[in-house]
Amino acid sequence: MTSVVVNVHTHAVTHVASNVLRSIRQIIKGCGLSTAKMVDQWAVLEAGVATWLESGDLEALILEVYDPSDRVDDRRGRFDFTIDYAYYRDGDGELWLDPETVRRTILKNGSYPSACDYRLVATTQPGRPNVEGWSTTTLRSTADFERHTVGTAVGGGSLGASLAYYRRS
Amino acid sequence: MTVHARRIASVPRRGPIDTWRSICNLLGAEADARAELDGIAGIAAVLIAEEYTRDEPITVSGIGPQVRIYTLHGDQAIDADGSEELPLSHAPTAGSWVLSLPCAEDDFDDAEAAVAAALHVKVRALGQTASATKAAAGASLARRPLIDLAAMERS
Repeated sequence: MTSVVVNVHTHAVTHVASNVLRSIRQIIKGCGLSTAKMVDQWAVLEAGVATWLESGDLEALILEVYDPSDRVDDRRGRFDFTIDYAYYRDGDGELWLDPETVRRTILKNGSYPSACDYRLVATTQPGRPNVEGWSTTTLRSTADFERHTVGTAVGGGSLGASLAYYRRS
Repeated sequence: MTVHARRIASVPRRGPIDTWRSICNLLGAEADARAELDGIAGIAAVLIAEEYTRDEPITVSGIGPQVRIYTLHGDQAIDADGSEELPLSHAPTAGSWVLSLPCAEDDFDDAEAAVAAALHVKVRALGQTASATKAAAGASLARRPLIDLAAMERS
């Protein structure tokens, strides 16, 4: 019985980690940006997200979009995948993905100029295990931006990852 | 033609990167070949995550039988017992070889750019036979006879 529970949780972690990253790549591409940087970093990203989901430390995985040529205010947009560890309190192990949530987000958000760049930031609980390739940073302010919650995009076991995006208000 | 096929359990049994590493281990790639395959791990993981490799195989053509590797996803991955991951009887990346990755049209240009520096790795569109990829594989295979694998499969 114990091994079944462990496997269900491990499978849920792998499923959610993989599909959150897959969804973020689709958002990057759908918003007109190059996916090359994210693809190059995939191994490090997957290691961090899976490790911190497994330990219960991952709060959100955030895609920040900015314009490096704008020295006054480079903020352009942001997408948050926020983790709910009790999305299903009695999670039966079902693994699912709602690609429509991602498609709808891309459609509503629109495209960015190709000069824009992006980075992925994970917010975590204090004391989370270190993962090679990740460093600490500070998120850009969301002042003057409006948050739009789209819905839960990925789920598995007790885990759910809900998607929201920010646009300048 | 002899073909060796394997089915590797992927998400949720393994993440896409671990799936790719398992495939590299299965191929027994060493030294330069392993470095080349490690260098494309990111895009390989993306193509696995998109499940393009579920119905169309990653192929390795070179000396010895062609190797076709599919990935299992969802319940098929959970239920996999490992019998489809048995070691190969030969080292397909020894000598002259070409590894072909299946990719949907929407991601094709990105994938092709990502493998551009990998001499032995090509991307093919879903539905395209690996032999067509092999035909365009470059000078390293130019002196070797090209075999229409699809035609042989039909015979």
